[in-house]
Amino acid sequence: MKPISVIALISVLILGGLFIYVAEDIPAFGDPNSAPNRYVKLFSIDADEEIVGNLNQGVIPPGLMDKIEETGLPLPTKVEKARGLEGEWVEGEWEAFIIPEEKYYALPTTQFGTAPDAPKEQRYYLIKKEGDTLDVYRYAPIIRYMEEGEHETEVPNMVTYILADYRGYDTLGETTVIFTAGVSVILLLRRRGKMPK
Amino acid sequence: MRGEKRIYERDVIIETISRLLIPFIQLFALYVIIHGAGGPGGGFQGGVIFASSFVLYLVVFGLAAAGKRFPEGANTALMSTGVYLYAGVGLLCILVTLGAAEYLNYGYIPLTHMFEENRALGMDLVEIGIGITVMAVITEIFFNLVWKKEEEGGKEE
Amino acid sequence: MIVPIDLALLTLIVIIALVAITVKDLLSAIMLLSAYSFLMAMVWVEMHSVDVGFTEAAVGAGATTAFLIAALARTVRWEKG
Repeated sequence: MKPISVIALISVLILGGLFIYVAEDIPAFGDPNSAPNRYVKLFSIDADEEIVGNLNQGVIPPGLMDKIEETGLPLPTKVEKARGLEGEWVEGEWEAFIIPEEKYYALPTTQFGTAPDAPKEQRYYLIKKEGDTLDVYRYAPIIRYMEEGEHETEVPNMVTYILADYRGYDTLGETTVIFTAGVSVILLLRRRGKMPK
Repeated sequence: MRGEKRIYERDVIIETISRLLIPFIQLFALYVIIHGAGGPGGGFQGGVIFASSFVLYLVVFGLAAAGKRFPEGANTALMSTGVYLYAGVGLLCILVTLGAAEYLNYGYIPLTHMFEENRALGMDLVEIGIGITVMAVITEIFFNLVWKKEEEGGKEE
Repeated sequence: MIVPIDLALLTLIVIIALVAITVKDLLSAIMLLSAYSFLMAMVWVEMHSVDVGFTEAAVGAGATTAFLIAALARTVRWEKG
């Protein structure tokens, strides 16, 4: 065995061990209810009296609004006490900002096809009090797809409806890439002339 | 196929089994494409399985016979047909609503009266498009890869 | 996710990959890569991602093997050096 083979063997073994170690160490691997899969943390701000008071009265604090505007996400429209949140997060102080309607459902559907049901309310921004700071979380979009996709699209297979419907542009690009591969193979490998008889 | 000059020996077992097996492979590929909504599968996998039946035909019966069954021009046309089908379904959403819906928003294609059913059917059309493209591309790549050897005297491996 | 099956499959995959990069016979290397793809498909299915496993079995173990053998038919079979 040459030295390079030994080095390759050792490095591959190290990489395999690392992979196994990491795969064992991922918390709640594949569990859609685990916290990192369910919520995305945006930022955290100081919890002074004014902000907490505003939130308790149902008013969106201006400082919070500015911070959300910096991130480029849709702005919340009202504050509600979060109800029915499961999991370990419920013991903290939770408020929820609710976006009443999404653009996807606000489109007019008059003569072609029935309009879907009334706009579904989504908990969009979630706030948790952690000591002296307020952490602002966002409902992860993938969880929304997992929960709502089946009766929005009437397709039970999650992979299919995400690939072909929610991520339709991606799949179109992927198909174009495959088509380009075929065209380049024709350009590079095709022999001139007819097929052999 | 009879009376042709062949550069390798015929094998009765392989030819008979392939003749029996190829229609079932193609049927399974169509099942995978259509059943992609309800179970594992989809356009890409079904297209690859469909192309593998062509690959089996070419391996068993040779390039000359396979070239007659699947002409190169038709194959090249099918390659772009799939992409056009995909993009056309997306464009149809804009056209039938006169610009109210977005590109690739399948719910507005007037196939049925239900918004959700329209989405499911649009997804099926799109999967068929992907399947056609993948099938044609993989067949084309394999046909072009095995081309040279048989053309230049066909030396046996 | 059954950990012992995962560990056994991943160990086999590592061994097969090592043999595939050290073997001199390129046809054997192609067959080993096909076996690698098949075991990888089993790992995916065992992780409950059936779609990925299906793709891996169809593309990796089916189409890629055919392509590689067709490409090998244009070169020599044995690696030099």
